[in-house]
Amino acid sequence: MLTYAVLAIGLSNSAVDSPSESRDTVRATSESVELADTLMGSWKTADPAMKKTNGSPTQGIGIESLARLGIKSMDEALKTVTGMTVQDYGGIGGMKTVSVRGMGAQHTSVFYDGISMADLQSGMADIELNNFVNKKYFFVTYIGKEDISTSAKQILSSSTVEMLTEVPRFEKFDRNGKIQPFNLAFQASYRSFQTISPELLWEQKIGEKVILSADFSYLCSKGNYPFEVANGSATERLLREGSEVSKGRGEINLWADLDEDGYFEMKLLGDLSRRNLPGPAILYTQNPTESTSDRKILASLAYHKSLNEDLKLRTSASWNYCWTNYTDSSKLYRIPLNDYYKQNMASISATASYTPVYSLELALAQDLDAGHLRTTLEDCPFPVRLQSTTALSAKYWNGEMCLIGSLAGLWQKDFVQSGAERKPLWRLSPALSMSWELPRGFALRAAVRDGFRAPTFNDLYWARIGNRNLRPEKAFQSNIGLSWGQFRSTHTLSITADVFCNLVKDKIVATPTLFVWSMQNIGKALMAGCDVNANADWKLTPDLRLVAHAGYSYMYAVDITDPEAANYLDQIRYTPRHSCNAQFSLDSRWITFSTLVNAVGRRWYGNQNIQSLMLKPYCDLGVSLSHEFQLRQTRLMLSAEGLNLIGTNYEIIRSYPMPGRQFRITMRISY
Amino acid sequence: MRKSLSIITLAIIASFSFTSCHKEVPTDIPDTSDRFLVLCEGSMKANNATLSIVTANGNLVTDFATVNDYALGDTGQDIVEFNGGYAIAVTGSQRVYLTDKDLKVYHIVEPRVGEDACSPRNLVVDGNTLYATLYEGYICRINPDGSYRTTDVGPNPEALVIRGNFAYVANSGGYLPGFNDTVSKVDLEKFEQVEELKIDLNPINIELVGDIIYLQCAGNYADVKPCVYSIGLDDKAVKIEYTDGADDLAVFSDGTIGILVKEYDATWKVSGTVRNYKAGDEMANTLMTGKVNAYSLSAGDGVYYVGISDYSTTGEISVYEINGDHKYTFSAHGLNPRKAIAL
Repeated sequence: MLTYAVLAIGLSNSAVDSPSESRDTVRATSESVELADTLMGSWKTADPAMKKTNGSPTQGIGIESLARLGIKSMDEALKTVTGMTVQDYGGIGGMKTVSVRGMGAQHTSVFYDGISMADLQSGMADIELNNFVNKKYFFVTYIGKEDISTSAKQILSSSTVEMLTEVPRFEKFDRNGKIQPFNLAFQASYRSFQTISPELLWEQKIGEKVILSADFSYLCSKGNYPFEVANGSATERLLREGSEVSKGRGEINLWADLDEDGYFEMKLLGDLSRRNLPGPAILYTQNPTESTSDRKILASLAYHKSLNEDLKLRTSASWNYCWTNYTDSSKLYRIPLNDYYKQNMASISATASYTPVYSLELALAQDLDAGHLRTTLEDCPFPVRLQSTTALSAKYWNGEMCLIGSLAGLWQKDFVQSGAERKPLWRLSPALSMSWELPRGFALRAAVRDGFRAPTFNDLYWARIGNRNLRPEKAFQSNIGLSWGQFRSTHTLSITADVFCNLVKDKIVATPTLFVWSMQNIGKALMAGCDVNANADWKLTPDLRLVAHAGYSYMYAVDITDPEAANYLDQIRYTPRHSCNAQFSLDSRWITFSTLVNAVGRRWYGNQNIQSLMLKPYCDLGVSLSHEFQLRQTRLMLSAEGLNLIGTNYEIIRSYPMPGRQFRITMRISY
Repeated sequence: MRKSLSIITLAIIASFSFTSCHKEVPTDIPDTSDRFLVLCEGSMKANNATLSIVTANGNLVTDFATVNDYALGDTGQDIVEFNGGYAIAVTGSQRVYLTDKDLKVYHIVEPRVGEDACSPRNLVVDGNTLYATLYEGYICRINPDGSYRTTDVGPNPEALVIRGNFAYVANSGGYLPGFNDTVSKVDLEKFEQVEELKIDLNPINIELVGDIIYLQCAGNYADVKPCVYSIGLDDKAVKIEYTDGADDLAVFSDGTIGILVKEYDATWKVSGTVRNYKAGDEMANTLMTGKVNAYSLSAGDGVYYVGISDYSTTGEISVYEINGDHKYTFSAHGLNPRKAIAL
């Protein structure tokens, strides 16, 4: 098997034997190419170093799994992760956010190649905006961060979802028998509801030191899917109106190995989209009047340097610009609403990691962030935020045991042009995780973390609703897990079970005050439960491979704010108590067949667990068939997928019915 | 920290002990055969407005969905007795239902102006004619046969009353930045606005007691506080200075105007006070105070009803004698109870 091109051009300066650097490990070794795939279950890995480090549970999805399962977008990928809730407002271009173990989307940080994707305004990342070009790895970490040589913001995060871009590999030979210095791929897919999505990828090796990749994608969809509404004994069949979406994205990545012990990474991403928003499906009337136009630019530059064998430096600078135009032509407004929002976020980050002895790693990370929000809304105080995040971490590993401790601190100061200024926020967040390898393939792990999330600009400054006296929302997390794994040349088996308990205090919730709503620190919530994952990867014959995964999550996520309240100890809204997912794929030389099932139990869209506020359980079943043809220098991949084959218009969010049965065909030509 | 750990330990045990925890709304059990029609708004955009016939001991007799085999829709805003039955305005679903006494629908009015569907807000009856405000900036005159006609008023009208041959419409401007401050005076013969009375910020409720119109202005929810005005036959508005807030109005059967005032404690719990006021009096009379989660006020013969809601769990209706004595409380069988009518 050919290794990554990074090896060929000498970017492999990361310590392969270091258990900490999941990203660099992925890049650096041929074994690690499979790493993300093998991380499908948090302990299902052939890499013993990774086994040592996982004090807190992690799940990953690699390129191979994504291809095998026919997954084409980030939300589809994350729906396969146990304990993950993807809040989906329906439709092809609808907003999608993620939440880990019921903690809420603002406690779940989404990073794209190390850059935070959350905006200052809502504190959430819309994962729909991240187009997927079949070249990504996904890692979900449930508590804190294992890789201590990462940025301070990542160490401070309660839970993280990371999307990592694969460094291009140049595996093909030209007619002269030399390695071809470029890759070209064109992919086009057609999906139900008039959804067309062409993508183009160009990867170029420039000399021996530089790799460039550029991809461009476009998606347009009418999105007018049929849906059914049960009303009394009748069922109305309607078309989702006002769901049109068109968006284009371009991304350029560059990796440069300019000196012996260091390398650069550069990224430039532009995203343009226009989406009509269908809004909730209201009984007896469909009158969508809202739309948004978005422009996003993201630029980053990172430099990784090994100063000597023991000391490594990782620095980065990034700029994230978001521009949104929201319009509403509803006749409720005398003049149609036409609001503009503009956010600029700049960040610099530096992390030094030092390994004084083989079994000990120390890291100090410092991030500085500045951002501002400008809107055309009345009463906007045009907030500017300065933020400093510092994290001091240590990792000790000794044979079968690994211990990681970190202390992260946040200082945050907002400046506003009108109204009272908020007091500076200063808070520490300690975390500790341990893992032990036991005999016979067993391993035990435990982690605790005392985290928080800072109030967002919406929480603090939204007209009439915002409250500048908000405190951070505190989150205490704990996890104990047991795993078993068997790794053979013919098969890999693993089972993991984790029990967790999270306590959220000073929850920031909208509360009615004097006829309007205001944000207050009044909520308390408790999430306790378990995640169980089982994985099997079996090479049945040289040409036939079976890969299976099953995951189950039990989540007792309840409100404990007020013992007198009618909803005391009731399940938090939109959080299922039971959910499970399963994937099964059969990979042969003729065809790859896979099925993907995601089943979610009943949930409640209100705070009280009563029948009238219940959302029905649902099961989403998908099937994928694909085959790759080799035509001389060209590879042709054809795939066909059936999505939500059961066809129910289930609701993840009340009044936002999901599309029913859909089909997608994809063709990819690689040269 | 110790307290947190204790809670966590207990919760872990509890999490594996409970499968479902259904709690009944506590009610007083009165010895009475009283029955009520209760309209609940439901949650916005959730299609869960309810209209239920409920006994005074909290039992559900029947409801709109059962009688008609379809749901009421989104955001039940108002109900009045009309043409021997009821008229119900459902704002989100943009419908006015005309029903008989048993809640069976005989006409559905879906008001439109040109191509645009409109959102009925509040209702008032004048003889055989029903008037509805349409939140897009109109009022609508609806006949018992379901036919209707519309005319322009100010922005986002909330409530209206009929005095003589004129309708007075509170134009809140709820969707305008900075709100609106006018009351439209509509000549019902010509069916057009003849005057716009400039009064105060965010007029949302309007009631008629004798010849006096009472108008609640909600302010801007910041530095401009809510207050109540009286408007005499000369159309001059006079601020009733004694009011320390106003969150809902209702006309009591003794000829006074009832005012619900909400206050919030340090933990943001709502405490409601009901006062009534008679034209010419110097002071309002406080009938009851300290009602937790008071949400709405409506009135019946010799009684008034306080809707109880925490916005997220099943609401209740508390029934009070006109002198403020509590009679009983029963489940509203829905979220955010807006109005009760004794049957």
